[in-house]
Amino acid sequence: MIRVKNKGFTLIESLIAMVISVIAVAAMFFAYQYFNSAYKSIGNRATISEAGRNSLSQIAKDLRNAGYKNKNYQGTWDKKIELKNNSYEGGDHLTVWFNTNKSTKAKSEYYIKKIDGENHLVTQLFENGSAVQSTPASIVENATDFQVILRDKNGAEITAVNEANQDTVHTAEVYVTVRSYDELYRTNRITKIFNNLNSTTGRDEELDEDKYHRETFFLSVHLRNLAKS
Amino acid sequence: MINGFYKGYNKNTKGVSIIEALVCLVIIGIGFVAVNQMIAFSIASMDRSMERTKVNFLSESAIEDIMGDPDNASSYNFTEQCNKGSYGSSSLSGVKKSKWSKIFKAEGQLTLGNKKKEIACVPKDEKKVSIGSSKKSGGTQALINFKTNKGTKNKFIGVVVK
Repeated sequence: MIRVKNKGFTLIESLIAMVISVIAVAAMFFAYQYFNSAYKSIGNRATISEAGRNSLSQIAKDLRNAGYKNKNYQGTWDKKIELKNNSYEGGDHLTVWFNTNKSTKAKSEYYIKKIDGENHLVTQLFENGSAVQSTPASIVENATDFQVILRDKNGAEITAVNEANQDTVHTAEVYVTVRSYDELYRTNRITKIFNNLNSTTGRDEELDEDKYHRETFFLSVHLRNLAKS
Repeated sequence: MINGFYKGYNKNTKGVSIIEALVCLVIIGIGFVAVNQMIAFSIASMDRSMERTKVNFLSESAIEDIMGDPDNASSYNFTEQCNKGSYGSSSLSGVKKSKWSKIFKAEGQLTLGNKKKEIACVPKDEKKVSIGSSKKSGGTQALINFKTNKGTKNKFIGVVVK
């Protein structure tokens, strides 16, 4: 009969193996946690960046059209652009008018509106005075701020834009501040919005502290149909 | 049965020694760290590419500013790296160029927990606007040139303004 020396692992070996596996599992756990939060953060940033840029392109298109009059249009032609500062939920309220064809005068509005407890940047289109959609359409979810600064052709700010001075508007500067949809920071932080601090309508607003990430998107547009250069 | 099982038993047969196991773990660990760094690098590149997209998007604003003042287009030549230039406020072009300096860096827009949220400056990166005459139409053209990736990558956007 063959005698077999049958040995298992010693206690020390098992302990070392356990310590190494605990370290390996912990490393994998923290790496997973890091990748997950980084993925969430990048996803959020990409989404707000896309929403911010798309909304600015849409607003820019309307601003470029502001005041465009079809030469065969017979109706009354009074308002071309109007801006109310800090009107809805802290954001500005921008309205522009332009012809889409010889018989239709369109009015396009942009402002911040609270929908289901969240601030959205919304738009509503009217044709010859009647709304095309019954309710304003949201173009940016979680929009913290919407600010428009209108300037004349010397670069000076025009604070109250009405029928009397609308033809002096040369440039529009548009700022949209967008909030991430997930909480991206571990601790509360205070966000302050400045945007054009030197102007009379520039923001200097401190928000309540929270864990969200915010970004401001900017575009300036030359209003071709208003102040002629 | 047991005897039969151990029939081919060779007393020289050994398992894996602790040293071998540790060496194996170290090799796997190195691979793990490499993958870790690769993912961190790809996340950082995505972040940087978003900042660049933002600056490219802002070039549209610069073009609009020149189109709004086409008679003085030649005063809109602009070159800036990390340091901001000073452009004066007596002319429209000066006002606009001071604005470009600010918006290309997202300066003065947001602070988060008392930290300014601005676009990081990489040495040798450059934003340049050159005004010249168009060879085809003879009109005035604006050429916007962004150098990124430490000045090694060039991107051009050109438009005829007049």
